[in-house]
Amino acid sequence: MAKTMGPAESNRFGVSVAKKLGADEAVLITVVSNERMARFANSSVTVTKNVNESGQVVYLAKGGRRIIGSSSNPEKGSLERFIGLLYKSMMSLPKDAAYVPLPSRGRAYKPRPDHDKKLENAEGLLSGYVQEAISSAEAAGAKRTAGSLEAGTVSHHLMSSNGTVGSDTNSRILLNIRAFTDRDASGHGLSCSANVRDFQPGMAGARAGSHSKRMRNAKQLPEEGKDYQVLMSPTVASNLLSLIGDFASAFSVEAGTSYLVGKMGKKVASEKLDLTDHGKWDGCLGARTFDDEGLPTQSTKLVEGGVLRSYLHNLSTAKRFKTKSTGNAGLIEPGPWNLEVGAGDSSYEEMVKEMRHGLILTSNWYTRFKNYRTGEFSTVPRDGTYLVESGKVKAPIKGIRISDSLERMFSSVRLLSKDREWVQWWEVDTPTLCPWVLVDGVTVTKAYGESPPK
Amino acid sequence: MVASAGAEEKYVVTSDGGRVESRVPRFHFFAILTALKGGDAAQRMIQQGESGGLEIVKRIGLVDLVETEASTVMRVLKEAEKAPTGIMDVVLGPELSGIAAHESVGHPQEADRILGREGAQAGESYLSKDSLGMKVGSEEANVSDDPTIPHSNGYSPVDDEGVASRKRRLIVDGKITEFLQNRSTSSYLGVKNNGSSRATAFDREPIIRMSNTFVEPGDYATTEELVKEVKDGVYLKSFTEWNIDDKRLNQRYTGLEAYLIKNGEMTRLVKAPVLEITTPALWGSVRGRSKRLEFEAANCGKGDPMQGIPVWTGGPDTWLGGVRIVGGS
Repeated sequence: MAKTMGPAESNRFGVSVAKKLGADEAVLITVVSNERMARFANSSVTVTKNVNESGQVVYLAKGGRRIIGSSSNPEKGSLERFIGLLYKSMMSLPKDAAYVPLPSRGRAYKPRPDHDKKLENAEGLLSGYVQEAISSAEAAGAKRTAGSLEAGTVSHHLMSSNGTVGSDTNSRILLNIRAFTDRDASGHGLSCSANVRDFQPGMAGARAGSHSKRMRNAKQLPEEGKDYQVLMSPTVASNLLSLIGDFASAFSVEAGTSYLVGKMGKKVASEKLDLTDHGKWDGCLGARTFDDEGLPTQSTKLVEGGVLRSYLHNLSTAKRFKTKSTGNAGLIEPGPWNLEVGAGDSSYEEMVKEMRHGLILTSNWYTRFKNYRTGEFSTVPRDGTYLVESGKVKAPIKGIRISDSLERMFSSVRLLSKDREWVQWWEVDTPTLCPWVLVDGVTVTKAYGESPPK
Repeated sequence: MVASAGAEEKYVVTSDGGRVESRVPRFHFFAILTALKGGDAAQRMIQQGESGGLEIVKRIGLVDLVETEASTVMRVLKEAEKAPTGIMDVVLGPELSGIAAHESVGHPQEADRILGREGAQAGESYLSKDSLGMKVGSEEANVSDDPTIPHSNGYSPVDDEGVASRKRRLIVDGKITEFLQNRSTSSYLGVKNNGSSRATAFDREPIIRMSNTFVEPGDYATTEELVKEVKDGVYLKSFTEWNIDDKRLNQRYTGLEAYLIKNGEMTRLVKAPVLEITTPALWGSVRGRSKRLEFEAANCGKGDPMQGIPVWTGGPDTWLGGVRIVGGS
């Protein structure tokens, strides 16, 4: 019978195979996920899923050549064959100018004890939470709901040929719920947390239900324009602000797919805006003690007072940028772990009062770039969307699009709320702690042509 | 640039006696090309993919393709002038015809969306279960999805519920004729299953997916012959940014390689013309189609956990009469 191995044994075996083959360096990362999911539609559970996956990422280097591969077969013979194939492929490659050796001395990281053990096997929790969310949405006015609840743990285990050993386990529970009162009237709510204690399915359901009720009889926006004030909920603001984390990856900067190219030390946003990446932080959803090169993670200020302070680096990009790694590897490309947008000092009510002519957006999707280099994009608001005139909410609105540039928008931040929420869902990959954000002078467009018959 | 080659091997077994063993090799290529001039930039994403072996690299002329696209994006940056704004005729090249067919015909005609099952994330549809036969386009609007095209990126002759797939005529002469179905939705709706269920891996749920979605070719022999019919307008050959609302009613395509049409001829390059239009307005304005049928590869996202699945999007040149274009910056 084929022999499968646990993460630590698998990593040890992989490193020893690589060394025997003659590799100068090897990094083995085994990722084990253990997640449960319940999806619901028309207010009933449609499917439950258990996703138990394990995969290895293998990095090899020899004489200035390097290669990275991944495998999802933990069987011993298979891993040995896979590393052999990778090694052979690497030796046929030219030397890589981007190669940087791993640190000569490794580190041993202690496992973090802070993940929520209740989420190690969350199957028994799902049904109750789904029902709580649906009931809360219906109590707030929803006729039907659709959503997804996901709970579980993900572990990263790393071993490298320089002696680095580490193991990180994160727990998380994510609920995303949409409520409907008719075809054009919907609301969205979400709650995401690293632990059961802070998870609020009832709040998410009530929010979705309330918006679905308020969105009844939504109207088309009277006119397009370039002068809308837009108040973005944490869900919407984190979708756009978390992209700055991606654009701050030195890989994106080198590839020319970032509007932050050449802007280090320059103003890229309003002085009110601060954005920080945290490897580990109280309550964050994607904590990592070490990065994929085995370096310790840290907190890195990306934007401080509107000025770009740092890109995110691994060893390879840091060398080319003549700086130090920020502990954000990615073996291929560095990326953010958890983003924090600095809080402001306004309440939601104060922000609405400040608006002369604008829109409140509570959810969005399908953000796409015309040009990553310039940051010009558009995104489609959905669910609760409201027209505000002279500080008062006037009407629910449908069928609009934000068509602007990230730099222009975030240079025009007027207010940030003091309250913040963690956001991670379909439209926000990197967990982001984000306030409400009020932006001036936003371009809002709508589609040409008639609507279909009802 | 990213190139990938691999084979998808499946063995599908169903309790009603289905046994399907398949192996589909695929090649896929993706690149972002950035042209810079002074402080200005233009960007082009290209995707090519087919089922088959590495002979695909030659068949699609990959090296020439990258060279041509790089040269085009540089030309756009250097030469494109401000695009006009107003109501005018627009000709969508095959790339634009394909994305429009995929986004505003294929997706809203997925029966699971129509029945609300994808409402949490991917969204629902502007159509209801009673929309079969509904007029959503002109007589010239004809859109299909066909998983049986040899070498196609979305090749899937038998679906992942063990059901034989076939070509689906989604819109015929402007009327909705068929939804994409799986076993569950077809049973619920009381219609014949057309085998549209696909999964990206053994541990992912098979859900309703498009395969190769395209505007059917028409009567005009060439692009030039079709463009001759247009007095003033814009030809959109390729696009950059695109998106659509989650009911698939309000879409936007920003042109990259785009030409001003004057008196039936393509003239100068114009910069970033935006077609932002409702689905009925787009398909209701189709006046003609050329004979040439071309496809682009794409990776279509849907499901939770996300399942990116290989598809083709395609079509001929599609002439839209009297729609709004907004000139770019």
